Amino acid sequence: MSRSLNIDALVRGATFAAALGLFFLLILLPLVSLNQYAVREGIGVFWDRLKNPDAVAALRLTALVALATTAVNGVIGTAMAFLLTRYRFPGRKVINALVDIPLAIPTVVTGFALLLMYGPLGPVGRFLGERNIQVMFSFPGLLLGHVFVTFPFMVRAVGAVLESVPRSGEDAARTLGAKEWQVFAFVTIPAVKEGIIAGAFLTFSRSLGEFGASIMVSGNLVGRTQTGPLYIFSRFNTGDVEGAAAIAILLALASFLILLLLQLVQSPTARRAA
Amino acid sequence: MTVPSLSIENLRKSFGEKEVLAGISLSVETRELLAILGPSGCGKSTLLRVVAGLLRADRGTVKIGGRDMAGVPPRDRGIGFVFQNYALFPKTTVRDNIAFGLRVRGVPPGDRNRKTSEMLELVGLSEEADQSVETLSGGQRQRVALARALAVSPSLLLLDEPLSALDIKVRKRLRREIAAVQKKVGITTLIVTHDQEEAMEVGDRIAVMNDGRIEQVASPREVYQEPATEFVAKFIGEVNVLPGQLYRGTAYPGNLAIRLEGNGIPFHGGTVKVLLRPEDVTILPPGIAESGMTHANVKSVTWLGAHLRMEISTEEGYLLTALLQRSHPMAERVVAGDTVRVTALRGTVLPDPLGAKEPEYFL
Amino acid sequence: MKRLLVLVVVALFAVPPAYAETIRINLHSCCVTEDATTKEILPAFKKYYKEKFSKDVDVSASFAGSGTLKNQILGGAPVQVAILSSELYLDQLKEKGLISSDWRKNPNNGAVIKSVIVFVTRNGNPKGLATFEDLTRAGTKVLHASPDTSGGAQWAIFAIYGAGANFRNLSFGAEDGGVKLLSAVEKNVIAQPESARQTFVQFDAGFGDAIVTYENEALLEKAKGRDYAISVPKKTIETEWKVARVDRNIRPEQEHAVSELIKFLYTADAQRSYAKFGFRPVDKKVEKEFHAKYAKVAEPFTVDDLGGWQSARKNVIENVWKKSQGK
Repeated sequence: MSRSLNIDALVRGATFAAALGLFFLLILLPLVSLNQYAVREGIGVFWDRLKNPDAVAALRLTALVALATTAVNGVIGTAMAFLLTRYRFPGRKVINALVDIPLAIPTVVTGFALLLMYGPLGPVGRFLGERNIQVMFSFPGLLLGHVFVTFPFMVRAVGAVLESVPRSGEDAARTLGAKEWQVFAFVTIPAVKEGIIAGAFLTFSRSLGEFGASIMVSGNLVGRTQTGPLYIFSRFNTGDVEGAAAIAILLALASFLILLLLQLVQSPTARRAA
Repeated sequence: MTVPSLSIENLRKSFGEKEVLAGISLSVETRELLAILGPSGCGKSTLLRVVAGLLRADRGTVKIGGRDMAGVPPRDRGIGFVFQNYALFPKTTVRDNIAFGLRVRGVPPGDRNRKTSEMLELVGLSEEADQSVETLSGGQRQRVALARALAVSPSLLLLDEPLSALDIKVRKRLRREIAAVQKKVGITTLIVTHDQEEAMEVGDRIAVMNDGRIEQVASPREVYQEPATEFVAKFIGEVNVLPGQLYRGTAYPGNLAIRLEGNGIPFHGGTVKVLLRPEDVTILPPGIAESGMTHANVKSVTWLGAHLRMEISTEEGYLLTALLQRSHPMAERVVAGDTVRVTALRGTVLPDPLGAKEPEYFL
Repeated sequence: MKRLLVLVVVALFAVPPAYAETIRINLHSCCVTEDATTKEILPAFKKYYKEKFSKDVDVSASFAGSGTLKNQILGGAPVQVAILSSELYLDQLKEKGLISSDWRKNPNNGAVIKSVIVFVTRNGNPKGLATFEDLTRAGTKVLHASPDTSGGAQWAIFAIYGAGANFRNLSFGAEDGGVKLLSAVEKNVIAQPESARQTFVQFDAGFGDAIVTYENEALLEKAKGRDYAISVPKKTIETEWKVARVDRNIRPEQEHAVSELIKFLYTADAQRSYAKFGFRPVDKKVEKEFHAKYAKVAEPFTVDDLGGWQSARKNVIENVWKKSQGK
């Protein structure tokens, strides 16, 4: 009896150790070595790299794009979640599967597809070109790429919460005298609030690190359309590894803090849903 | 003649192939509490939602206070609705839940607070007013739901199985409280339930519903003692159903002769189903020689506290259920295996066009 | 008996590679030299080596942008010979101790292939872009790779600057003709992706009127069937690819093969192979053979005219180009 207990405990302990060990090797150590690189030449150099105007411009752009992406996705992602959860229509299952496509496609391919579509040769691009609207190689182009790539996060986060919300709350509001917009604002949205928040955090975080699509559609113009990750890449290629590492650390830290904040802000039920 | 508070005419509703409301007509008087009683799936909740305007009927009319409600959304019908799961707004205080209706209707804060306090008093939750509803017990939440619905001063109160989620002691207490509140406020009320005891206790009248149709609308006494259909008889309380003949106001199931009372037996003869409530079936010592009785053998005796339940097998082959008061002279002594004489003090009949020969036992 | 068998098997597997017949060396070569190298030059070298020295040599080649190659070598890739587009990268490798020999001792200061900076326009050159000055016209959309990540882009920036500069008086100040030209062109640049290849991807998608890039890249696109026009400006820079030994990675047994390979690249045959695939040969005789294929540049200049790689990098890229961004 005690022997089998020992083996159980041993297996549990071994599994635990293995999981922790892998986490250490795959996640923590690379982060630590990144740190080493950043401060290799000293803290002075580290600060210097952070203050570089091109770096600051890149970080600002990254933050703006992330915010804009979160805002846009907040609306369309939530709308899509509602559409998929609340309504039945032909092709619903297909659309539901398509929502996750951005996760499956390499981001560079996404960028390329956007280029083709919004470029002078593409259907939308030609239409916009006639009205002298240039979407690619500018903020809107970046926004499009980021929204596409982060779309599934929002839809799934809100959808998960939405599915578990009983509709009777909305009916109750109706019987109490609420107009439809009041039902939506005072009952529906608060009910999915946690899902929206989780989705927003994930979207923002993912947008901070977006590289593949950005490198295609941004134009990569230093100080203008070069985002943080693109800046890191170009620093690395010129041999300024300290500069690359410094900004990389900053972005990693930002993402980490955001995700940590999410953990703290959420209640256990919402955490499960996300 | 006053206009009935609620008037429903020939309501029909189907979901796909299934017809859920098959022509419902009903009227409810002002200040009346009408209980809609029926088994699960009979359409009673659907009926309530149509009255509320949460569902649209395929055909028929709903008139509240004489006004046709066609095309009128729930918020303009002057109704209050209490849901089965209460549907309280989560992470919100009791006070804010109750005040919601007033808030969305634009009632100024002063009046809002006054009315909310009034409601809190009414349901006895003044102390818990600023607690989040999540911290409340089932019974307390139910009261919040009631207060919330009444806060907007509706002219019609609709309750959809409000007590089914509670356990029995709480249920019993709460149903009395609801009835008391209703009487106090004097609001016309429709309560949907599958619990016949509840319907009997709170309802001024009961509408028994089955399979999309209303079988009988009557006072609790009438529904019990003079069920209009077999379904009503079987659904409410326990009943023995025996085949028999009707002749000049007396029913003759087997050797038994039961004098029928009541509001005009509509036919004078023929084959009928005789309905005997267990408490109307009584036993006598075996030696009694009177007509209209039959011999029987006691199959089982169950002590139920205030009553005795007996299964009795008569010489005609009927298996009757009888309910004896503890005060019955034979209550203490009778055991399974005894031979007794059986008769019924009261009964009612229903036409039996098919002339079933086999007795049916419905308990 | 069984033990003996095991010993024999183990001994066989333990045979050091030196006893094996074939010599293996790794070559990292920049950019689009893949076709020329794998299809013609390396097979020819293998044949030559076998005939002349009766030994088998196996050259394994890897191709990528110079920057990437340089990073790979820095990261420890076991490369013995490198052909890169930027002397700066070679300097970096020397600094880190990977190269100890002087590549300039080879012919042409180490340059083994050449090209020129041109620009690629749409079929028929509808906007009539012939010189770098034309690229400064309002409404002209220009593409080139980012000099931060692409060696070719660095050459392109040098070319634009040099086309406007007076080599006898390089001030790099506001009145410098080169600075004026470069700043003006940069205003029309709509995108600077990380590599020349990616630039063509965007051009193919319909963006831009002109790409400033290597002639060999342009010729490759045409060979792929793209209907683009190539404009060779009157005054443009001659780009070079230099070959170097990565001394630290060379083992004694590879020594001979390495030096023979480098020598081989300068032979007429190898030069012809490069010329066939879009590169200008450094061998003067082979150059004459291909004069019909390669347009003569009226006023060519080199990076030395700009003061050498280090100086040009500092003054033109770090200074002028950087400043022209973000406006």
